[in-house]
Amino acid sequence: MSGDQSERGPLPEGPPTGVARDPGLQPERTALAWQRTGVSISGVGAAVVLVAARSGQLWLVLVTAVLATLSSACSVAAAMGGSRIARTPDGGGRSSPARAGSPSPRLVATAVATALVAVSGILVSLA
Amino acid sequence: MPQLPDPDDGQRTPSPPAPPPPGRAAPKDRRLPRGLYSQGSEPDPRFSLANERTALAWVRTALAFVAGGVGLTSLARIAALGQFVDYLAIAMCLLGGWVAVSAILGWRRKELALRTGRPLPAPVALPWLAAGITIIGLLLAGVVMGYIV
Repeated sequence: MSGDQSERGPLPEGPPTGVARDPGLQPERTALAWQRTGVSISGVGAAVVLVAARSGQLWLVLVTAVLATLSSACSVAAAMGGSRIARTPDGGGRSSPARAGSPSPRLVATAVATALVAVSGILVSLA
Repeated sequence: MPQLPDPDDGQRTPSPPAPPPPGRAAPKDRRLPRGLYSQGSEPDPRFSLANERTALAWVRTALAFVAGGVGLTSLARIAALGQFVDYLAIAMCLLGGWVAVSAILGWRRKELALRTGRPLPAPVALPWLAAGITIIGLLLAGVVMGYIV
């Protein structure tokens, strides 16, 4: 266990030289995580609209369709912002911290999208 | 206290603060929320990225709850399971919304701990989430038992 770090190989230390890649592919993994989340939100939103369509109530279909469209737009915007991470040379941008931007606005947009889908889920359950 | 190696991201190493680029002033940090990014020093980007992925995994957990709730209410229509299952579906959607909010709050708390060099906070939402799943599972088991017995 003591030789843990040497088995892992050298980790990039200090300011990057510009094109140094993280051997753990952290930026790519993070961008993919954004994509997964975006696809999941769109999928669940579509499922809610389908359930609403089965109920046969037009207002419910319209409301859930609007909410699903909004949440998909939020998640697509967030996922596109997330893919910007992968294009920064060192992922988070140690040399320029603000390069990839804060994930906070994207996370908030994604959570709002999830909440919108949850609201339409509740509406579908109540109807 | 010996630090355990992180199986995902390697050893936690302190990163030196980024030196300002020579010749011109450092670009202004426009990241939000200001209250978070004005504190501490820049952590290793790998840890920030791992924190981001953790928050996204929480969001997907929230989505799974919403999907489960919607699936349940859909099933209740097909199989005429009754009102109680619908209330259970609403509870699952609400739980999903709460998990999505706690994803952001947890991300912020962990990022702050990374920036200020403090130990990471405990995952507060995790025991509540497990408790919620247990209760929903038991209630659903009760519904199923009602149909069998």
